[in-house]
Amino acid sequence: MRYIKNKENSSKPEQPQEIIKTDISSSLDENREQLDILFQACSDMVIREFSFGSPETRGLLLYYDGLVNKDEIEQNILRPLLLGIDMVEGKEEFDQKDVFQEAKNKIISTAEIKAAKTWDDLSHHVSSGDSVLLIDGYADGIIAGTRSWQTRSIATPENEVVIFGPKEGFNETLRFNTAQIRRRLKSSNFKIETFVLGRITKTDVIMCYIQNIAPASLIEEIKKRINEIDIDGVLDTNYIKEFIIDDNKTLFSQVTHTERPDRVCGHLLEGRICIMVDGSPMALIVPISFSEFISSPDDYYTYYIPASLIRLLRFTAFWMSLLLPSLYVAVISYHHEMIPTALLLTIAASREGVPFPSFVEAFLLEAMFEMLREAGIRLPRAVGPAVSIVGALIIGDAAVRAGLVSTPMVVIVAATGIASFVSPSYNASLIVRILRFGFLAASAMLGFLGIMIVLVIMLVKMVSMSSFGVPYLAPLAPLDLSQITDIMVRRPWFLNRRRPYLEGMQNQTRQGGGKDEAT
Amino acid sequence: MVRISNFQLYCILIVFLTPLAFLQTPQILTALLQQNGWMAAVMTIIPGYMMIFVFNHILRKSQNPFPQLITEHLGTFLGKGIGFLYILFFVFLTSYTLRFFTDFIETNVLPGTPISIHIGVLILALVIGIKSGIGSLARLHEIIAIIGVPFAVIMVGIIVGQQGSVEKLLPLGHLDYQDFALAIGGTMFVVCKLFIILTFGFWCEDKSKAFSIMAKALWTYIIVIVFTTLAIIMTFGGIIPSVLIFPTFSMITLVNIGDFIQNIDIIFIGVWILGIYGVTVISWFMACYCTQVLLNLHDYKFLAAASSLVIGIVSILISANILELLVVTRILMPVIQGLFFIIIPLLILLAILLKSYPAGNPVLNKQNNQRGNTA
Repeated sequence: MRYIKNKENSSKPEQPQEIIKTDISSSLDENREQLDILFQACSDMVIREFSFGSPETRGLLLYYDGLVNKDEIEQNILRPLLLGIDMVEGKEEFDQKDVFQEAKNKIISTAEIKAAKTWDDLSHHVSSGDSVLLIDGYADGIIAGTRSWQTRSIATPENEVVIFGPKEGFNETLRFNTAQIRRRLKSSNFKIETFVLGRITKTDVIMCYIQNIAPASLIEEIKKRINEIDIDGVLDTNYIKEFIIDDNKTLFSQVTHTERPDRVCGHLLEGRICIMVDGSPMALIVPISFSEFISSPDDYYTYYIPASLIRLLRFTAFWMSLLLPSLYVAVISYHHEMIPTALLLTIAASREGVPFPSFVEAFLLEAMFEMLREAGIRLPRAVGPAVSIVGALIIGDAAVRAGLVSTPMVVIVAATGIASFVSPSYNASLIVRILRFGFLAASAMLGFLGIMIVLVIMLVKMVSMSSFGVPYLAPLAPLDLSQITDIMVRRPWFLNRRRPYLEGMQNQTRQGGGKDEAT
Repeated sequence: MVRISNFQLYCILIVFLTPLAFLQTPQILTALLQQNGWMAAVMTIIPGYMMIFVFNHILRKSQNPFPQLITEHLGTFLGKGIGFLYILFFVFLTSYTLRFFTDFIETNVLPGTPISIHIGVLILALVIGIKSGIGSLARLHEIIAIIGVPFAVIMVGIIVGQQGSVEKLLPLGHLDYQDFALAIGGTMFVVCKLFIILTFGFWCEDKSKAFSIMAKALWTYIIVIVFTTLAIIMTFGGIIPSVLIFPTFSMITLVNIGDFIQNIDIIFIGVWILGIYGVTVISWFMACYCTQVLLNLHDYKFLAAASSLVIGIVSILISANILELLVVTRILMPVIQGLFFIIIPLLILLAILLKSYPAGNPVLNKQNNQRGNTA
């Protein structure tokens, strides 16, 4: 008897984790019991039972409040089922028909509709904002697309501001984001593949590319790496990034982040692949090389001559922000002879009475600057910039007046800070900020020699890295003369005849004779 | 199998040949031939091409890279023995290059810092380089060559523009033939460093282009050395450079840009470090690679860390001071490099010319077939 009782218990799962693995039952009562267990303590779950048709058929509609468009449920699901069934052709024989197919194909009028067989499938769709209709006597659920929720509207990306060009940015709703890309790439070769990641979050992750341009081997490799991810939740693109990059033990970013659809399209047209996550406005672009961090979307929306000059300026600013404090410390501490005597005397006079060696002085000011920068980001928007500026001015001035730091050092740190803001990529700026301290320490120990040794180590690391098979310092190393001209300066569009080469790229021609693109 | 592009191979050769020679060779040339020193550099093209023919012939007739090719042509016993000597030679070359550079830094830039500190820091950077693998090193050498060669030429160009006088090149001729031959030898032992193509040539994407790659490297080297020697003579005349230890460096210190940027020797050294790093990492790589091959090891990368102590100690013990090091540079190094980069390759060439190869040698068969088809 005990054996029989146990067997009965085991045939009917009572734990949510057991139910989720099973199929939906044909008995509505049984399904109701399972739902009560599965969605126990989910106060935002709405379960609406009703009867429809003649003779009456019992049905059950479930959805999450706040994730659906209730008007659509009323107009396209409940009203046709409860009131509009009389208008269905052949209603007299309704009882003899397949109610499930009739409801799915003729009565419910939502744009998206499909069937679910398992509780797992049902749960995923309900959590995504769809509504599910269960009908007594049928072991399938009808999934109706009723997704609708409050979301941030499309706005200008705050971190990638451009003077010219489009001002739209991504938001947190994946479908709005893909629509923005699709609107710009009107080709059936533009593909979007979806993955569901996160055991609990069940987050939609997409990978988009242009078929016939993006290398097939690259597409397969990225799919493979995404499919290997096994994690409980994915809340942002960075979760994906850390799983798929080639080298996890480096400071240098191997992907580009962007929240601009035009930038994504530009990269897709160069054969790259974009990865996006539902709930994050950031898109990941792979593969990339380091030169990506020097270029800005604005370069391509501005006439090429000023754009090239601005890019050269940016390149100079990159090196300034990386090396200026360490060069100053090296010159002041070891290589006085490099600068003219008059300037040296001025610097020496201003350093008179400063109790710290130049390295400590630079380190303190740089650290303070970084703190102010971080505080500026975290503080409320209304007071953040004011606090940063006032903080910098007051602290800088007070430190000089107190004789703790010299005026030239304040100038150097301020110039470095300004130069670091010139970088269009936050990632690059972050790397530079960290490396700057390394260079500073090296210059304090061995002067210019120390700086060069750290630079050599940095170069060795960079040349040994790759992003999905693309060398990190390409097209400089390995040298690609056809592409190098688009790095230091912005090559005019009429000379941009070929796409940057990627291993396995099927179509490198960009102008005149491009094949298989017009579909 | 690692593949490096032809351009990367060219860059590796240039970087292996030029940085040390840029500092040393003009002094040797002017010391022997005064204002005619540049002529010896030009004349090095002839023996340089002879060495290129030697290396190219060995490369074409071999199936395996150096050091396996010694065993292939000279037999297992002799091959292994000579191979081990090459390991010692490359360790010595690495230590010597390191020591030369650190002594130079010690004398000219950071007199207070012990050379062991410099050596230690450089060894750390070198180990990281070797551990990154030959593919990465090839890419690194591209960057070094792209930055270094134009920088050297620009520096020399600036100094010629500011200080140069063509009159100091006169009188032309009036040279002693023995000194002329010695000067050619002084330039020549650097050219023989093209020897490393016997290893790297097998990894490049098109081995048949080895001859033209070596020729391009030779021409680049000759142009840089001739131009630098001319600039030194035009700046200091024919006599003064012969008493200067590093006339190239002394010349660079005279650069003055806009009366503001002056004494840029440290910037020059900064860029020069890249070159020295390139030379040292390649010779150390060769030592590690030869060890891997001769001892049938799985990988060469771990040998970098293992041999770093040996390299460090040898580079400290190699001489007591920079004067002793100059003796090593001017007397010992030409002899040692001549032995390993000229004499032994000539022996291998002789063995190739005299030895009859079995019919099963696929490389030779292929070449014979090609010849037959052409005929």
